[in-house]
Formats: sequence, C-alpha cells, structure tokens
Amino acid sequence: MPGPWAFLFDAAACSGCKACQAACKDRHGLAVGVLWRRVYEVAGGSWARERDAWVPDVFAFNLSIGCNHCEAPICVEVCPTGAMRRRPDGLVVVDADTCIGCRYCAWACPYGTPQFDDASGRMTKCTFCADDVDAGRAPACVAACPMRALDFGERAALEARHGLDASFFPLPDPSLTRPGLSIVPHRDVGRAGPRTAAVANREEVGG
Amino acid sequence: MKERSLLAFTLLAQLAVGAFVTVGALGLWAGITEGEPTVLLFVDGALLWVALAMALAMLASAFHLGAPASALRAVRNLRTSWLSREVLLMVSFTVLVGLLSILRRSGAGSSALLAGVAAAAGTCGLGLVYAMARVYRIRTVPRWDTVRTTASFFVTMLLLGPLAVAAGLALGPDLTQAAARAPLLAIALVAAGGFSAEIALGGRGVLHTVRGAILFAGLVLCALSLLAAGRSGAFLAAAFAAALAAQGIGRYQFYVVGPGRPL
Repeated sequence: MPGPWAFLFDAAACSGCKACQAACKDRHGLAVGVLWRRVYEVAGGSWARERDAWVPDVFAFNLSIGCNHCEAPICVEVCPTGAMRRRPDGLVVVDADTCIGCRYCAWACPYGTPQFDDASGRMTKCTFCADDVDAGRAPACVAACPMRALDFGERAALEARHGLDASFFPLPDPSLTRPGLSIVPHRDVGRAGPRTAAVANREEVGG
Repeated sequence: MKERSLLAFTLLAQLAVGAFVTVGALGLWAGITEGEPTVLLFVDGALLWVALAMALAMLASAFHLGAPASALRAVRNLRTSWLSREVLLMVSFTVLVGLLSILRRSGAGSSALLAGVAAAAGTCGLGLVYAMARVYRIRTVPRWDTVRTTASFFVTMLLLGPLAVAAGLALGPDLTQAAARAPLLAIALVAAGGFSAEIALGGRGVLHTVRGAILFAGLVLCALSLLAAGRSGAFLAAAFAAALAAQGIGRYQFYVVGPGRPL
C-alpha cells in the first residue's frame, strides 16, 4: 500500500491565483463558506526612509493549506465520537454519519482544516482526493496549479528531499501534530512574524 | 457569538457543582449539629434545584451541536478525548444528584447508601469541572492551554455555587436566622476568596475594567454580609448577582477571543 501521503508547497512559485482552492471546491461540490483548501495571503512591511525619501518596504507571500494528514492528528485525538480517524494509508478522514458537529476538531486543528457545513450540521475536511490518488491521479488542487507550486508524494520521500519542519509565520510548530507538509519557503518568510506580518485576506479564508 | 450555548452550559454546570458541594457541606453541618431540621429540608429542595440546573446545562450544551439528536455518541472516545470524558461525567453527576434527591425524599436508602451516592456525585461533579477545563487545554491552543483556564473554571464553581445557595438560604421561607447564620458566614468567606482570586487574575481592556468593578462590588458585598449579620443573606444574594454578571462577562471574553491562531 502506498503512502502515507504528504503535500509539497513551493511558496516561492505560488502566484496566489487560488486555482487550487477553486478546483477543490469544484471537485467536492463544497458549499459557500466551506474551504477545504485555503490560500492565505501573508503580508507585512511599512515605509522606510532612504535619505530624503520615504519608500515602500513591504513583502507578501502566499500559503496554500489544505489538510496535512498529520502523523499525530489532534483532530482525531480530541474527536469525542471517533468520527475523525486516520486510515492505514495515513489519510485523516471524517465519517459524516458518526460526526455530531461539536466543532471540537476545528478548535484543535492549528491549520484550520476541519470545516463546519451548516447544511448538514457536520464537520467536513480535505480527503486528499483519495479516490483520485487510489486511481493514480493527482489530488484536484495539485492538478489545477498552473505554477506547479503544489505537488504531492509519499511522506518519506518528501521528507528526505525537503524536510517536514517548516515553521515560519503563520505556520504552527510542526512538532505539535507532525504534519505531512513540505514547504519550499518564499525568500521573505524570515521577515514574517506575529508583529511584522498578518494574514491579509482574513475575510476570505476565515479564522 | 457562536458559543452562547457553551457559555450557558459551562456557567450553569459550574454553578451546579459548586452548589452541590455547598449543599453537601450544609447537610453534614446540619447532621453534626443535630437540631436544624429546617436546614435538612432546605438541602432536599436544593438538591432538586441542582439537578434542574444540570438538566438545563445539558440541554444548553446540546444546542451547540450540529446534530443534537446524536449527542450521546459523544462518549465514544473516552480513551483520548476530554470532551467524551466531560460528557460522561456530566451525565453521571446529573443522574447521581437526581438519585440522591429521590432517595432522600422517599427515605428508601440507608444512611450508608446516601453517603455513598453523595460521595460519588461529589467526585463526578469535581471531575466534571476538571474535565471541562481540560477540554479547553488543547496543546495546539496556547491561549487556552494555561493553568488560568483551570483556575478560572474552579473559581467560577466556588463563586456561583455557594452564593446561589446563600441566595436560596436568604429567600428560603422556613429557615430561621439562627440556623442560617453559620452557613452564610462560611459562604461569605469562600466567596470573598473567589472574588479576590478573580481580581488577582487580572486582564486588560474596557470590558475587563467593567468586570473588575463588578468583582470589587461583589467583594464589598461579601464584607458587608460579614458585618451586618441580620441582613447577610440579602447582601450575599446581591453578591450572587454580581458574581453571575462578572463570570458571564469573563466567559464571554474567553469565547470571543477564541483559539486566536493565525491560520
């Protein structure tokens, strides 16, 4: 059995077009307000004085985040019903028939992954397009990316090539849940911090 | 605010557990002093109110769910989920308080059985408040994962429960002033400690300043109840209103601020 799976995101290549977000919504028929994949626009900076002139000294980069199908998924740990579970192939899935919509997983997940569906009263989340992957195809978000900024692969292979320890702002400490997420960092990630940058499209991505 | 039902649930449940512990102490005191049948009658009535408060708390908690009809599934993951443990303790505490109330009123149980049920209920109640705090102490939510969360939930229990009992003693029709004096004195001291602890925990912002003023008013009312023995019940009933308002504001802030993560 292949897997466990992980995503690779090249923040330096992402243009923020949100084709991944739209493809995910389209592939899974998601309701308005439910985003299994979200593109966060991280921005910061201000004006800087250069001799007698004030010039803009700003930066921005994008982060495309779905479910990272963590090795230590806190959503599974806290779920009171067992609806959230990790499959043998490492994919974290939610059983809508068992879920009672308590939203505890949404509080606990540091990536904002589980999304509440008002219509069904249940939690929903990224499935890694398991059917497509099982059939040898790429997940919808990966297939849709025009910049080839998103990719997927087996966790061990991605870890060997890129590591799984990206922890720059606004990402949480990866040791908390051991996410299946490799990131090629943007050149400005070192400038981003809780006081120097913010998610600029909060209204769009929620949280 | 999406968590209105959780605000009601946590406050009501903490009030109920605090009231149960206070009523238990009151019952023990009445048993030891052997001469206050009116106090024992009050205990019987108070147990029913505790059970009713817990029933309301459970109802409020179910309103938070997307599928309330399936609420009982919430006990399926006792192995790792504090929410499952909380639900189990909540149901156990409510059932045991109801059972204790029935046994006392019917006179069916021996004193050993009554003591056993009361001890089990008290253990479940205190366990419930601890589990409620643990539900929010998630390692991925640094804002909630502090000892302050646990302290706040237990202080709420110690403020609302005893003061609710004091209000009941003040409003209770059959209790003599002499019978109520010692319990009201003890409650005033506990509540003063609770108000002081909440003031010491501190905070920032306009809403916190308003809350601080209410807490201080509660502390003053407790002091007044100690000084004016004849009207201590009325002062403590007013202190209960202050505690309810202050803890309501505090819990509102807790949920409104939320996990507060960047993603």
